[in-house]
Amino acid sequence: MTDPAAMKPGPDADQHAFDVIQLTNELPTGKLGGVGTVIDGLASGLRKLGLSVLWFLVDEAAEPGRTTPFSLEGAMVEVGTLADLRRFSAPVLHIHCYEPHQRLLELCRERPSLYTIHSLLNWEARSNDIDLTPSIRWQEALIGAAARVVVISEAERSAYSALGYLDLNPNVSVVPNGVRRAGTFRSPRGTATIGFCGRLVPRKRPEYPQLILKDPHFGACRTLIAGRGFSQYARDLLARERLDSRVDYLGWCAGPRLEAFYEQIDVLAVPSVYEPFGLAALEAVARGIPVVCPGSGGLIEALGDHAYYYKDTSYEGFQSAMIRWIRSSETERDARAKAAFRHYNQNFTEVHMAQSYVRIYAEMAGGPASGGISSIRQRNPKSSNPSFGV
Amino acid sequence: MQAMRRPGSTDITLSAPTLPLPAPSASPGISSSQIALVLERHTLVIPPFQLKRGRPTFLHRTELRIDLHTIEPDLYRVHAVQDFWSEDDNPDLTQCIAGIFLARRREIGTWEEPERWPTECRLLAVLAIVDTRASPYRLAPPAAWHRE
Repeated sequence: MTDPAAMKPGPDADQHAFDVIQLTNELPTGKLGGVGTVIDGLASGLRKLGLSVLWFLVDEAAEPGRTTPFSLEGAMVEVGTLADLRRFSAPVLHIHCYEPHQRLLELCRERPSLYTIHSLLNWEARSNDIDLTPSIRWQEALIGAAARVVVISEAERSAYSALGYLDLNPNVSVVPNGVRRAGTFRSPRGTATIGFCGRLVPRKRPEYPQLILKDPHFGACRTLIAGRGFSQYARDLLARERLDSRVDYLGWCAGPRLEAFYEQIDVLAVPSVYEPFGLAALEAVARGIPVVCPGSGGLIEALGDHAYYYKDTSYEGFQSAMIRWIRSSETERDARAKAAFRHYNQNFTEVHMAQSYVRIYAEMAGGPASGGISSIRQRNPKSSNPSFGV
Repeated sequence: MQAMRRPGSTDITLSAPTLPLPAPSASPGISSSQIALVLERHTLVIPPFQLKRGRPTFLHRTELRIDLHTIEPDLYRVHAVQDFWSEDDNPDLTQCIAGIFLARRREIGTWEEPERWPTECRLLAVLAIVDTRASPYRLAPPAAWHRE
């Protein structure tokens, strides 16, 4: 048990004062993945809004003086134990964690804390048919310990409510993820290469964009799979369906490789049963890539009317939407891609995300009258109007 | 890091610097003779290698040294696998990261599979069998081993 006093800001904390401290225990190895992509976008957005931000990567095995595994644009990044956090102060502690960490619960009770739930583990367990009980219990404890909670779509708020979590913490807001513009917008695209991007878990249905190759409409297509974690199921599927020559598993793609993946594909298949938001879909839209996905969950909020939707999460539904995509004219694909991009650009850039969070930080810090985040922003105004052209 | 180090696996160390890669061996039926594994007393040394399977080439750019003292004495198969746990930023999509997985023989006579949790990697080729049940350890091509 850690002495809670050890977690309060130390005597020299004012020398290391920030507008907000972002805390995660997901990234101490420097591997980014989905949460890392959001964090990277949030770092960029908060910088554009002029906030001073410390990104603190919790690693209880960290040795003093350890260098950070990566940098975030314009932000200070520190790696350390939770006890090291007392060297820094901020009106708000913003938490992005899945990995259980009991002492973090104590810290939440010591400092005004905001917890962003990037995925509800209870729904992860159900949709993947796995037992995540210890992690679910820890997430529920963290929800209860935080002053406020953010979920990343209205669909997630409904799921949060359905799980009874309003009893744990009723102070829940929706802040959709935002994606920093990267890569090249290119439209119209062809119809030769189907893409899938994400962790290769059952809930994401990675078999769908492979099985579709057996349909005669897709006889000239191939599929690229970008994501972590192979499986016996994937191995057996390739062998049974004789798809080995038409499906390339690219492994866990990051940076230039992820960009090369998006450059090569003509459509992104997101056939997830449960998708809190649909970050990969938004990354695709930002590059002019049409998306085929179920018209449910966070996806429909992120993509508006501009994806190739299907009504349920069945393979037959996916197949019908894929056929609509491959039969559509180049003009239609181009129009959808441009409309989807506009929807993204008007609602889901990293600056939109950061603006929503800053409003919450300001409320938590007490607003301008108490000298919180709002007054800091007034001292240091910067342009916050995102504007990209197609 | 291109070696698997998942729960229950062996300790693996990587040596630096990166060494020049030999030409890729062809698929299917990659021969262990094309990747010259060496046993230095209790250390299995795997040189940098590349394997061609279908379109992609799977690369392992560094020499691996596996201290076999750190694992339970038994029979192991040395697997070349596609690594699904190292973030890859190589923009050449015809190249993928390879790794090494030591598969222990189960009591029922079958071998651990790299595709199973928690390793979740893809078998590319069986490179060799290593027997650590008694000193001196023995290293043999897979075809040379018959069930005992």
